[in-house]
Amino acid sequence: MHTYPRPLPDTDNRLYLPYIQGLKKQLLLVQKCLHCADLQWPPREFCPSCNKSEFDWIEVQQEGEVYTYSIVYRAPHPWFNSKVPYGIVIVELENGVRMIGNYFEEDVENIECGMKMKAQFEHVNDDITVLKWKKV
Amino acid sequence: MSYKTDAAAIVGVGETEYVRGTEKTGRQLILESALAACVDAGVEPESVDGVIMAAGNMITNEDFIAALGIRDLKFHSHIKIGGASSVAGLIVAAHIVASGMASKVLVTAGGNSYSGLRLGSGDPSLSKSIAWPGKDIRTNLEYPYGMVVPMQWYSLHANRWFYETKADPKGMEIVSLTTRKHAHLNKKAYFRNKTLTSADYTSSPFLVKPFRLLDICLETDGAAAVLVMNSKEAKRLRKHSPVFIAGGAEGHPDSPDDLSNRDSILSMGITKAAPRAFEIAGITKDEVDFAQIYDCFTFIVLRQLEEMGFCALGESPEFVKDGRIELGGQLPINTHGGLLSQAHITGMNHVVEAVHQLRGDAGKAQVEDARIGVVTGYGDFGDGSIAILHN
Ligand SMILES: [Zn+2]
Repeated sequence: MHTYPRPLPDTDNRLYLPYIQGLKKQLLLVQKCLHCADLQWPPREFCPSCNKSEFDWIEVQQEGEVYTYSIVYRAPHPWFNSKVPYGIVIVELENGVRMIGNYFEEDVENIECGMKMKAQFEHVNDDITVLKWKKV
Repeated sequence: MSYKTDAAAIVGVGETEYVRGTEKTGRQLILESALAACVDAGVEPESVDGVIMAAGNMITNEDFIAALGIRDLKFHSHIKIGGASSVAGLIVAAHIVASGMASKVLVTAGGNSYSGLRLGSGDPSLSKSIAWPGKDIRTNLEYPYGMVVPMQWYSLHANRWFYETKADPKGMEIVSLTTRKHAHLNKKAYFRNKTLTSADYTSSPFLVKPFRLLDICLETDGAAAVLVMNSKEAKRLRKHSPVFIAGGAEGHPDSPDDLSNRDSILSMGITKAAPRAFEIAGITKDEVDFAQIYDCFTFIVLRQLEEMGFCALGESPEFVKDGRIELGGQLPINTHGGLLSQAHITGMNHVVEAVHQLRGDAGKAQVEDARIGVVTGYGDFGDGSIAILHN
């Protein structure tokens, strides 16, 4: 049987590299504009508030609430065939950043908006760590 | 009746067969529908001088020049806002003919979305071969977590909507069943002979919560096209009465390539576009006789009804009850069966159906005394478009 590689973040993408490297160190990093100090997530080349293009990356907290979610019963890609049903949660952190990740457990039917979640890190390989959200 | 803007009109419509399985290429299908629109209008194909290609990458302006024998193409453009492209393209066409830049503009959509790469197929190349906006976001934040296709994206919107408004999920079933009922009256509808009961709906499996199989549109091989001219010239054509474009608009949500990080996921492109369109047209919602609402998913029909202001936030499931959106009701919607039960032609089939209604030749699905109709588009991560047409 043909096996399909897991879709993973692109380590050649310079815009996302600090985020990808942050996950490896178990940190959640987002862009902070060096000119107007606005946080930006997801990362982009320009700051929409001041249109400048210089950023720092800062750490954000690792706890928040489910803003919304998806519960998947039919895999959209063969790598996920053995994973269904699985949950995808969008977790809102205190500073308004909403970060995606997989729901940590199999009780996907219990996912609700407003649930308190905490980041967990799943080591995939030497370059890649992905994010899971665990119920607090 | 007179309206603030009536500069352009639809003079011809063309559709191919709507099937699942074809030998034809997407390009062939699109050209076939374009030629049919010219024949319907009674216009020589070689005299077309503008083409707008809505959604997809299946065809180029050069293909139109070759197939139609166009002598002097004065305008072309591609509209790339997914399912909002057909109606957005129609609005562009209206402005192009009104300005005089071109005089006969075709707006086309469709292809072989069943026989080609299917969104519902689980094909691993889906994540690479479709040019969604926000490629970096898709690749780095969504695909790794198994979020790859539209039904998953839009479930984020739907689940938040249910949470904030406590809307009744029954509304989705009503849209699904009503649309199917209308498809039985349409000879082109894929599901014209297949009945759908409440039991069928509630026993259909969840693919992505809250969407059951029967909340999700078809994938179709087929194409549709309309021909737009300025109203003055349109009135000289003899084959059909022109259908006038009273007004329209497109709109883009905040952070349009990222559903998750916009202030409210419930705010969409049509939220911005609808008030503009009604203002431009000088028409109020009470005057609308029918609406062809983009229906890639049942829930997005409900959301558009709310964002256009036909009812309040969270109240669409109540609004669609008791036959209000059925033929004979206050606001019949998707009288051809929509993307859910007729065909997925990126919403150009909605435009064609609106034209039939306003010409009075919609057959068994004719809305009595139809004078004013609304057509909407919805695409990508919440882009919206809306056109208001009248006869
Ligand atoms: Zn800034």
